[in-house]
Amino acid sequence: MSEPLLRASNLVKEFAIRGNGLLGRTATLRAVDDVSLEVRTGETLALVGESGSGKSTTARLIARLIDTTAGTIEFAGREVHALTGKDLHAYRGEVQVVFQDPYSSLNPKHTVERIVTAPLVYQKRPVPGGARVFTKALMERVGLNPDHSARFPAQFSGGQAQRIGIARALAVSPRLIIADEAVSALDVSVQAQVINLLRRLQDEEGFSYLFIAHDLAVVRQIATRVAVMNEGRIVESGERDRVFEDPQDPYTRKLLAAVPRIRPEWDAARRRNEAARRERQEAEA
Amino acid sequence: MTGHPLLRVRDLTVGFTTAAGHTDVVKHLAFDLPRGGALGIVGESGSGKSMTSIAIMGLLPKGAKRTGSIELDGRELTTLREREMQAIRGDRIAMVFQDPLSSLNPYYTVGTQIAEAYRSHRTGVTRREARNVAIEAMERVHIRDAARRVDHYPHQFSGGMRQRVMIAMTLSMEPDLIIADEPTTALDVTVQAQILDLLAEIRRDTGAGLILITHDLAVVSEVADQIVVMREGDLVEQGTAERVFCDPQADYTRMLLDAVPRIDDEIGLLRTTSEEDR
Amino acid sequence: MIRFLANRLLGMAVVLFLVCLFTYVIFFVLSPDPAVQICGKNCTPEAIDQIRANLGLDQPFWQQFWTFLSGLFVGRTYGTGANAVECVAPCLGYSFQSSQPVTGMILQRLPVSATVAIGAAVLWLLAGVSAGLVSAVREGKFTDRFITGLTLTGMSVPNYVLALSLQFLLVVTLGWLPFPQAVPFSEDPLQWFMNFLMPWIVLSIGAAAVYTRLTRANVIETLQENYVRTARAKGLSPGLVWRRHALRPALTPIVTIFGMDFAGLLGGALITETVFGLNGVGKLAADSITKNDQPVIMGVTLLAAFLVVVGNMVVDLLYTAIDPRVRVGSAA
Repeated sequence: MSEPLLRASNLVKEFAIRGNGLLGRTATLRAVDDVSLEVRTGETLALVGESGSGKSTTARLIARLIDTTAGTIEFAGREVHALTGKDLHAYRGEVQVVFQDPYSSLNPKHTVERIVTAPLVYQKRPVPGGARVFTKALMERVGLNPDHSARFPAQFSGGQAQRIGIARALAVSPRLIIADEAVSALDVSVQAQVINLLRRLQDEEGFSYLFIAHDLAVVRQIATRVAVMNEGRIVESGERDRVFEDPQDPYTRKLLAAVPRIRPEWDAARRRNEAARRERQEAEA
Repeated sequence: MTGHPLLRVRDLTVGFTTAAGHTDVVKHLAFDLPRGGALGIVGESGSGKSMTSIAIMGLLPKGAKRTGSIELDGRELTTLREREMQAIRGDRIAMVFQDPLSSLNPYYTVGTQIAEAYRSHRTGVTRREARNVAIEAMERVHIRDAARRVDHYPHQFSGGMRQRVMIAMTLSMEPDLIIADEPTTALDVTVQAQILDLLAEIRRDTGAGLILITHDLAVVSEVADQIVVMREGDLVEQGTAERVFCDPQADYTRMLLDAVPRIDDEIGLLRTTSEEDR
Repeated sequence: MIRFLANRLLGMAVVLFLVCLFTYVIFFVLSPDPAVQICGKNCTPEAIDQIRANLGLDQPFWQQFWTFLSGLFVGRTYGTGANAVECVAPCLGYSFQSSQPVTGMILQRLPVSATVAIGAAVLWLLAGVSAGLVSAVREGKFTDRFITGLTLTGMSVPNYVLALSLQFLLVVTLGWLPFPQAVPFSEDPLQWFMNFLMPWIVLSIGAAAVYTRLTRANVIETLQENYVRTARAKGLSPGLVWRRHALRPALTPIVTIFGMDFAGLLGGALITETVFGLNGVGKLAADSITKNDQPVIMGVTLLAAFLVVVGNMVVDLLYTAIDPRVRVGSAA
C-alpha cells in the first residue's frame, strides 16, 4: 500500500466555552476526540455523523481553517501545522473546500470569473490562458454554460451555484477536495446531478475527496471508504460496502437502521415496469 | 360512514400579485383524503407543497389569493369567516411545522403553549385542568417526566424533544386532521425515525388523518398510503403509494425516483439521471 | 443567580474604578494647576504652597488618587490642625468657585433633574410605544407613513432649536404657558407642572421618535416569527396572538434601551436644563465647565457614569426576569 495523501493522527480539538462576566466559569468542549484517519490518492473518504458529532470540525482542522489542540496532520508526507508562508500557500492550493450553502460561500458582488480565479490571484499564480478563457473552460468542465461567466451568484440556481463553488475549488488543481455537506442543501434531482459531477471530476483528475455528510444514502453513492463519527470519535471505519452491509459498531447499526428507505420490492417492481415500458416504446418505434 | 372524505380539495389555486406581476404558486390542485388516511405531498423547492398546507389552514400571508374549494368533512372552508376558521384551526385541523425551535415561543413554558389551544377552544377551563391536559399530551408523545418538564421552556429541550412538544400541541384537541410540514427535515436521522414512528402511533391511536409534506421520497414512502407529486405548483401525479412508487406515470416522478440515492443500492441507479441541469 | 449577581457587581465595580481613574487623570493631572486658580489674582508662592498642601496636591499621584477614592467611601479631612475641614463620605471635594462641598451641590440639584428625567421618560415611552404599535398595525398604510415621517422630523430637530422655538411659540407668542418660574410643587402644583411641561416635551420628542421606530420594527419583525404562525395555527384569536405572542417578544428589547436612556438622563440634561433655566445637575455641569470648576465637573461625570452603570445592571436583571432563555440555562 502506497503512502496516503493525507494522514491525520490523534486529532483533538477543544473549544473553551466561556461563561458570562469576569468570574464566568470556563468549560471545555472536546469537539474532536482522538480522531485518526487517512485519505489515499484518488479515493473518497466519507466522514459521516449526526449534528454535533465533530465531523465538520475535523474537516476544518484538516483544511487548517482552525488550529488543532493536539495531534498531527500530514499531507503528502509533510506536517501541515508546521507550514508557514509560501508552504502554507502551497497547501491551500492543494487542499480546497466546497461548502454546504453555495450562496453564502460565494461573494454575491463578484462575477463567476472573479470568484473562480480568486484562489489563483490570492496565491499570486498566473491564470493560465487568461481569466476569460480559463473561466470558460472551468465552467464547461463543471457543466455550466460558459457564456455566463460575467454573471453573479444570485443569477444561478442552487445546483448551478454549487457548481461554481466546485469550479472555484478546481481552479488551483487541488489534490484533495474537502466537501463539507456539499450536496445537503440541494433538491434531490439537482443533488444527483452534482454527485455525478463530483464522481466524474474525480475519475478525470484523480484527486481525493474528504466527503463530510450526514446523509448515509448519499455517502453510499460516492464513498470509497467510510468513517462514522459520534460524539467526537470515529466509532467505525472501513470499506464502504463492508460498513453498510456488515456494520460492527452499535451506533453505526442504529444509524443505518434509522435511515428511511423506499421498499426494495417497490424499486424492483419499478425497474420491471420501466423495462417493459422501454420495450413497448421500442416496439412501437 | 358518511359520504364525505375527510378532506376534499378541488381546483385549489393560490396566487400572489406583486409589482412584477401575478404568479400562481399552486395551480388547480385536487385530491381527497379519506378519514384516517395518510397523504404525502412530495415536491422539490418551489413546488408549492408548503403553500398548499398553509392554504388549507387559511393562514396565507397578506396579498395571497386563494380560489377553489376545500371541504373538511363536507363543510366548505374557503367561504368561512375568519372567526369560524379560528374555531377549526387547532381544534379540527392541527399543524406541525418544520423548525420546532423557531415555531415555539421562547417566552412561554411548553406547558402553557400546549394548553393554549385547549384553553382557547374550550370555555371555562381552569389553569389546573389546562396543565393536566398539557401533561397528558406530553406523556402521549413519550416525553419522560412530563409533570416536571411541562414547566420548562423550549430552549431547555433538544431538537427531537421540541418536535415532540409541537406534536403534543396538536394532540390536546384530538384533531381529525394533522398537517405535518417537513416535520423531520431539521432533525438528525435517528431522531427523525423516532418522530415518524410517533406520528404513525398517533394515527393508529386517534384515527386522525395525516397530510405529510416533504421533499424526501423515502420518508413519504414509509408514512403515506396516498401520494401527490407536485412541481412548480402543478399536480404532476397522484395515486396510492404503491402505484406511484412501483409504476410512476409522469416523467418528472420517474426522474425524481431515479435521483433518490438508495442506501442499500450499488452505484448505478444514479447514473441513469442526466447530469446536466434541466 | 447569586453567582450571576456577584459577577455583575464585580464588573460594575471595575468599570466605576476605571471611570474614576480616567476622570481623575484628565481633570486633576492634565489640566492647569488648580491651586493657582483658587489662589486668585493677588497670590504669593507661599499661599499657593499652602493651598497645595491643603488639597493634598503636593503628594504623588497615586497617593492623591487614593485619598480621593477613599474620600468617596469614608470621607476625608482637608488641611491639618485648626484649619482642618471634615468632608464626609461620599466626599467629592469642594468647588473651586463657591467652596461648597460638591456632593451637597449635586444632591441639591438632583431632584430637579430627576423630575425632568422621569416626566420625559414617561412621556416618550407612552408616545413612542403607542405610535410604534399603531404604525406596525397599519404597516404600509397612510397612518404608518405619516408616523414614520413624523419620527424622521422628531429625530432630526436639535434639542435647543426645539426648546427655543417651543418657548417662543407657547410662552411669548401664544401665551399658553406662563413664563417659567422656580416654584416648589407644594406651593403651586399647576405652575410647577407648567414649568416642567416644556422640558419634558423637548426631551421626549427625540427619544419618542426613536422608540416609535424601534417598536414598529420589533413588532413587524416579531409578527414574521414562526411561533406567531404556530399560535395562529392553534386557532387563537388575533387579539390573543397579538398580546401573548407578538407584544411580549417585541417589547422586551425596548426595556433594555429604556433603562440605559433613562439612567443617562438622570445624570442631567445639559442643554435642556440650561435653555429652560432649570437648576438641575445638567445646568450645574454646564456652569462648572465654563468656569473650569474641576471638582464639580468630576463629580457630575462620576454621577453620570455611576447612573449608567447601575442602570445597565438593573436592565440586565430585568432582562433576566423577562427572558427565560437568560434566566434558565439550557439543560436538554
